[in-house]
Amino acid sequence: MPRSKTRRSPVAYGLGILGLAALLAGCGAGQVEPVTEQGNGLHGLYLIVFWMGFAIFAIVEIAIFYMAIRYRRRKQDDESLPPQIHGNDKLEILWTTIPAIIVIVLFVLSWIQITNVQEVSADPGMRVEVQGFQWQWTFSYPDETLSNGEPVQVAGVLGEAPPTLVVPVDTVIQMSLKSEDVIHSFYIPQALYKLDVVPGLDNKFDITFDEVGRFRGQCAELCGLSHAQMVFFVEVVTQDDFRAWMTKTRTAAEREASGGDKCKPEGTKVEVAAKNVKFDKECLAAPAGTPFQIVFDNQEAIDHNVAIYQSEEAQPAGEAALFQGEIFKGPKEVTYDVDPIPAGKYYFVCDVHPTAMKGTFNIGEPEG
Amino acid sequence: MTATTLEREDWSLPEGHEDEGGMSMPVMGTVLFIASEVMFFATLFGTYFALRSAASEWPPADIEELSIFIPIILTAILITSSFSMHGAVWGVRRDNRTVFVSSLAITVLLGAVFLVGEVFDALEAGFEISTGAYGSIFFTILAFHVLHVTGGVVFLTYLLIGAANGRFSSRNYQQVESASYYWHFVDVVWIFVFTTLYIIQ
Amino acid sequence: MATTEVRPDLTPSGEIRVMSPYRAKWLGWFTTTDHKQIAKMYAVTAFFFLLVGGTMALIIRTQLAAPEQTLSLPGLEVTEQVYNELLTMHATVMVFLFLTPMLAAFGNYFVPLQIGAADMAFPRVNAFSYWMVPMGGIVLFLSYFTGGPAAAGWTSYSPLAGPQFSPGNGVNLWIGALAILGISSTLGAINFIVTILKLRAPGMTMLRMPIFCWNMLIQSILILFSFPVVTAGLLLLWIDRNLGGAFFDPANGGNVILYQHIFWYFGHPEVYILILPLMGVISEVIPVFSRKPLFGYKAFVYATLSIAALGTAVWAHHMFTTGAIDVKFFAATSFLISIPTGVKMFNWTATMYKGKIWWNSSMLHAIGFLSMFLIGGITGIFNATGAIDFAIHDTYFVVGHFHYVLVSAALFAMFAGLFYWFPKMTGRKLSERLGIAQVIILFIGVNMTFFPQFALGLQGMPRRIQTYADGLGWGWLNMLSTTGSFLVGTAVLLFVINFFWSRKRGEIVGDNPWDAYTLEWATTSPPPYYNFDALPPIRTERPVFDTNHPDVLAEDEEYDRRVSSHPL
Repeated sequence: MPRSKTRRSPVAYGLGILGLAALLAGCGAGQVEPVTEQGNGLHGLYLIVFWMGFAIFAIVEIAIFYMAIRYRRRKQDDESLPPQIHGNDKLEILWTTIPAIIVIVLFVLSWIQITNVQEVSADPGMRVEVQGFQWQWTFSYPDETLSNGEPVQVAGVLGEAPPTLVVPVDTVIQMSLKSEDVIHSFYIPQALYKLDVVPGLDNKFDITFDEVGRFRGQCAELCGLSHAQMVFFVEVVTQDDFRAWMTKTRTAAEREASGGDKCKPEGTKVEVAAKNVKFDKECLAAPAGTPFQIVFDNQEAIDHNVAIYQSEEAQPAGEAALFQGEIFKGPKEVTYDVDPIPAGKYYFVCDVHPTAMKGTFNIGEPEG
Repeated sequence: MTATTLEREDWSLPEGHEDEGGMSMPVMGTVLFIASEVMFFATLFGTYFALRSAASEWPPADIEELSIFIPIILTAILITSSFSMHGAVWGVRRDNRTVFVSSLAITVLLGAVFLVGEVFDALEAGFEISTGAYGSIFFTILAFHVLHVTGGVVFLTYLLIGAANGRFSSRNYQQVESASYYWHFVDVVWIFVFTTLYIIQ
Repeated sequence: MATTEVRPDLTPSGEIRVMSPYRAKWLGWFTTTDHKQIAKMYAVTAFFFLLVGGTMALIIRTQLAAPEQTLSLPGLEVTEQVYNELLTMHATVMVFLFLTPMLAAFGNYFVPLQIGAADMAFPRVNAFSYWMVPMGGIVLFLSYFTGGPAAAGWTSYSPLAGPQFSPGNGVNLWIGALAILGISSTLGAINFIVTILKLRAPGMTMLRMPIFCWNMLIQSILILFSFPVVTAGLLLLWIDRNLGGAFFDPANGGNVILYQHIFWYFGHPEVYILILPLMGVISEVIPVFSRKPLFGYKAFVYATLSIAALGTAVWAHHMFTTGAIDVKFFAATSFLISIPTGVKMFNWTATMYKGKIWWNSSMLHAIGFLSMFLIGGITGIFNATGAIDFAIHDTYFVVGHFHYVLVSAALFAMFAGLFYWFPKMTGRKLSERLGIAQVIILFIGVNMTFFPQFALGLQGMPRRIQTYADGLGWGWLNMLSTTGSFLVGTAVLLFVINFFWSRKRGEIVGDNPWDAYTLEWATTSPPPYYNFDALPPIRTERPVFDTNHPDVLAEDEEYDRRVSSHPL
């Protein structure tokens, strides 16, 4: 019997498996390095399951190939039948019980981790509201409000640079996930965690980053055309850096809210369009003391116009407008000629939809 | 090596396996088909209760409560038809053609009346399938029940024509038996529909 | 008496007759109610769709081979829209138009033969079930001509598949196709159950039935209880889309998660629906080629029953990250289901112990199945924990996991069955040489394709993305996976070549070339229209073998007595 020869194969196979194991062990058994407190626990469980699974895999796989090779029919074999073994009840009980015990152990370990990651604190260190939409993210900080009551926001724009959520390290951050269109999934690979962003549900989870750095995140639930582009970043910084960043962002946001740099007069032609019962701009600007034109592009078959009022309350209060453009149905483009208006901060609205369509109108000195 | 030269002989049957007997194949097929239908309706009723338990108001405030007057009459009609269906099976088993054909005819008639009543009553409801989740599930359950009753009435009519031509007897009534199971099933579903949509609204 | 050489199934020149009472050959294909011919039609249809779905898979893999690319093929640019359509159609085709009909083919051909019946219980319903499959395929592919197919994934989660976010006809036709295929499967399941319960030959008790038939029976029961659920769910989605329903519209009182519950209540048993018959095939192949009875017949039956029972209580492990289910409960049931699955693995392995294993294409494919199914099963444990699933759900890890089960293992089992039964169906053997080349290429191919996907998933690559950024380190693993997928394609093509070659030129073998166990080997190859003109006595789980080896009959009868007297 060439027994030594047949034995070599399973041994070689076993060595191959061990080599693969060593390779995998070198890099966290294949899993990314966790950067959150919750993620560390999950990674620990992963390693346990990985090695337990690996041991079972190795034993059974070696058994399969050992049996197949050791008991193969050889040329010199006669036609006689091998022993006709129908089974063994003790073995059946054994290989039902042992997996059952393994499974119970794994379940207890999983239970601990599930409880740990599902814990939602009533008093987190910081709250972040995540809004997923086709196909980007907006992050807002409900604890950090501007003077107009709106929270500080980081917005993503499709096809442009993905948004970066900045958060402090070693702080319990409560993410609250909201969607108004389809289901998305908020997934940070290095947190080893994801939670779906489901319209109609208010999903929350706590996360504590224990490492400073910039981590990639991505939507993990097919959400339509540009699902693959729903990327975001999480920038974890020190407490001090976070305060500094927040101050800077808040200042910029305040400036934006009050008209900001972007809304300064640039010539005597002002362009604005209406679509989906919305103006495409929140702020318009024109030079003071000279006549100017408003090019109004009404893109839908609904009545719209542009009118300029002294204050936000003037239109609902029925006060006269400084300028009132003709109301017309689109799609059509109309150029209004506006008489000079003194410098100041005004409001523009559509008289047909005053609550949905409004914005700030800055009349000021032209740049330079 | 060939096993084909053997004949059917000398079956060695262990105790208790001598007679398989029991249901005939078409009847068993019908019962399994009804089992799959049970799962279908269970999904619809599951949906109803899932939506209901998540709703703040059920039915929504702007929907008037439904009158249960017509549904009660319909229930009575359908339960009666189940009895007449049973009578038809009783009749055909005993080769009592008069009982068989007349019971079957009564069943078809009651089924048709029920169908007209159910559709009429559904059209009287003051809302539509597109009136929120409540309207959607209300009309969906009703519509699928109507479809099933229609199927039943069509099949029973087909049997009635056959019966009038003397097609069934005590030795050949599997189709009648199958139809009766199906009809009782449709009846039971109606009891659930009635209880869910009308009584506990 | 078959001692006479009258072969009503052969023409005088030895050609195989069309086994149909109808004269015109082409008309016979449309009008036949013969379970064997219907099975062949199922198999050919399924194989056609395997090639269609496989081509889609190769396009998907090629698109992903390198980062930040949009593949441009002649006449097809794999844009985001096209990619989403491809992944939806690939999955739908493979699940509903390849695997399901392929299993129906195996079942149709061999269930009546293995239980000693002349045909299925309802032959005309059987033909109807078959004809609904190409019908469903046509409806599904009509969408390519009416504004583009569904692109919301094979799960078609609402609201993405709802009226607002998937306007157009694609999802409607997808729903229509699935409803048709669902009814086809349900009717098929009823047919199998009645056939198995009512048409077994005298002596063929339930506990003497081949494991393949047991698995078909349990699969059919699962179909019966899960397909109507998804049919109802899809109709609700259709009502949402076309009649202004609000079932899954949260703005109008609907519930988004409800759809997922309905879908996965079907979707998870569906996995067992797809794999149980193949486990049955393996349970036929391994004992025959090990020259031993199946180790633990009874354990197999109970393991299959418990898989089916537990299989209806694990569905929400597909929804661990929705935040709307009890993760612990479904983790527990998912863990439990690994126990009976493990029992099967151990029993198959033990069947080979001390055997005289016949290394031929069929058996090597079966060994490939064991090896691949083991990986698919163990990686399933990671998902079952719930906790680890938070990281790997909806990533390539899951893609790798279910492809190991539904491609690696399923293809190996399917080929094991085809190599095993081809002689019964045609009277000829498939080429061993091509078969062994195929095993080797397939083994390297599937591992090269799907093993890197575990690594990709663990590194955070989500599934269903059209492309990925450069510099993430995913490129080489994807390239490896793509290369492997072409090897899988090569192996499948080798089989197609083998099939056409062997059909005409394969070695002509006798009625029972493997000295096999079960009743289908008691008739001619191919079997006549009426299947059997005589049956051997059925006293054990392997009547043909006992007839040919009277020396083991006593031993088998002893085991049979034990099994029958103590069913538990």
